[in-house]
Amino acid sequence: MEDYQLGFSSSTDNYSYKAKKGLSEELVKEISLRKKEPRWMLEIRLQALKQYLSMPIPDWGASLVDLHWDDLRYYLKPVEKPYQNWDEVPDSVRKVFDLMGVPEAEKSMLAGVGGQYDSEVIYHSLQDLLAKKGVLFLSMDEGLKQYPEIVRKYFGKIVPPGDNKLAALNTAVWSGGSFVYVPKGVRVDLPLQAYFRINAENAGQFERTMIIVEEAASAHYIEGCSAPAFASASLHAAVVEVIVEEGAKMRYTTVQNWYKTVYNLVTKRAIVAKDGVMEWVDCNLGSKVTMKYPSCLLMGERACGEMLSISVAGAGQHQDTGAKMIHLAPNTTSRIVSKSISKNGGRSSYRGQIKMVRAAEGAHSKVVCDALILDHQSRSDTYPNNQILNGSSTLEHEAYVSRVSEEQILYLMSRGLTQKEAEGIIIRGFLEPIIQELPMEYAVELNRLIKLEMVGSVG
Amino acid sequence: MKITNLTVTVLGKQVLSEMDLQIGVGEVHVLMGVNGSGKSSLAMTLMGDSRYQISDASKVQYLGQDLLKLSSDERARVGLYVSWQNPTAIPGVSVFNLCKASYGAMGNKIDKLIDFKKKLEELALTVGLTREHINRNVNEGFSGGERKRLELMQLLLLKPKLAILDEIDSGLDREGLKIVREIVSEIKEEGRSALIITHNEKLLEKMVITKIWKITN
Repeated sequence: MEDYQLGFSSSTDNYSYKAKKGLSEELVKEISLRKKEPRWMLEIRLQALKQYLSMPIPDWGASLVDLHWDDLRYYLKPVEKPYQNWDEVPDSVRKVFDLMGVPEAEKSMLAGVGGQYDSEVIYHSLQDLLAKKGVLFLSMDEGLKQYPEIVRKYFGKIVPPGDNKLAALNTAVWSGGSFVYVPKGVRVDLPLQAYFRINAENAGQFERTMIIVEEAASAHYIEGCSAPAFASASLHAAVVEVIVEEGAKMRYTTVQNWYKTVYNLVTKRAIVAKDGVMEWVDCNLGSKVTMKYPSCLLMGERACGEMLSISVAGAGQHQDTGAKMIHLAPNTTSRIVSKSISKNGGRSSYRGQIKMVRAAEGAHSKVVCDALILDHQSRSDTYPNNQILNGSSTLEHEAYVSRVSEEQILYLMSRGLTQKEAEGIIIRGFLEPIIQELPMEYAVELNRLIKLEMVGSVG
Repeated sequence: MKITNLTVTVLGKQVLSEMDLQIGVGEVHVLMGVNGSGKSSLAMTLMGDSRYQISDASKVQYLGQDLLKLSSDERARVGLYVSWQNPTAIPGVSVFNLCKASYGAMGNKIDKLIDFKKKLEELALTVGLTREHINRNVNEGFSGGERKRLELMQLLLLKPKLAILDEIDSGLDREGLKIVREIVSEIKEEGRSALIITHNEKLLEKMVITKIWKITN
């Protein structure tokens, strides 16, 4: 773990509120009260809590037995309110974002920035020009305060609380996350960036993100995630709801580098109207367990869903990732490209669903799962689930598993590359098709992380 | 290079026994012998394949160094090039990226990538490959002959002090053999050295050879 460079933390003594361990109805009420929420939101929360308690812990994917639910703190509020100027952010918190290079990146490459620290968004900014065009980029709490009617219209409609146990939990105790609204015809060319940071030990982070891209508008949202190097487990259980209206285009990029004790159990889903395009780009490097299957509900004719994912599973890690593409209208298309690397006993699984209903005449989907296994202790599995309920749709599924052989390494070494360079060039070559989809700064960062991850890993 | 008393076993089977061989600077040597006589084992041993176990009494001196103490990449960087008999495919790694990495590893500087790419394209045409091969993955989907030509192309790029060509002729047509002869004569002209491992006497026609070594079991 000495290679994890984001493992620092700062004291939680000055937090403005720390919930005691465990989950209760009182806590849910307390969160809602502190946030001064409308009554209807509290009712949604309480209903979701009931659903959460009645649902079993999922046992069909990665093992969750080491996650001690009662030891978690479900709400941790570091500061009273989000700031719009880094100079106002308390030193202990700002230091962490400085170390991650956030203010630097904001100056050079981003249209807007949000920073979440444990349960609350501590910083938010958006370029003036975009604000004038009516673009909204707020914390979800602010979004609810300022635009309750929009939030109410979509909240829990794309991912209902009963969808799965973790979605129910998020709905009950959600805090923070991003609220993005791009009005009709507005194109946001630079990315909107959110940084999610867990700082406290045994923390639960339950951000809720809602993104609405109106007709013919477009945007790119990027999130980065990291956490301190604590020995005990933390939980990150986010819910993301994306609405892509007619002819709109949305790309949602995640670079997840949680510390290797974090359980990352996330539900992400988009609905895509006629001629809309939704792209998920999902990079999972960190965490102990990730279970995440971003989905697209292709509602309108010719709607298009895409998923590009990279996951790296090292010692003690299980990356159970995939995608769901649900074709509900004629001539809808989808593409999934999943690349995984398993090493040092790590396990990566691809779990995907393609469904084409009767009405989805002429739909087309292509799935490519590509797994690279670096040693004999590591493992890769594929669990595809395909349902095609009409006669005119087509589905292509390709799956490849390859091992880096000693012979390949020797060949490269015989041409003067060190063993590390040889491993690096093979791994970069494997991931290249997805890395080239990332903004340049992220591609550089990802290459750097992968380089760190891969030191001496071919056994 | 001076090889003395080289004894090698692989998977418990002895493949070379007390072999002596010397190659001087600017010389072209040939090693001949029937299949299974250990010719390729010599190439793999000199390359540093760890499956080949070497007896304590074995010695390989190269440019004042104990070659057997160096790793494969260090051997390459002191100027040894072994062209593989069966070059392996490397999915995801393009010929361009391989050449860029190995050219850099040998201490060469690349000023402009576009010029470097042009250089590679010229070398590809010289060895009978096409420009498109530069963008393809190393040996992936290559025919036997194309694999050999890629080995020759890297040899031209890296300009090693000593080239060991392990059965370079197998899979090559007459045109390919001609290219090998040209490359070997260039090596000699430039004062570098080569060891050609083969059982094909045709390859050696019109070649100026310092010495032919024969292995018998």
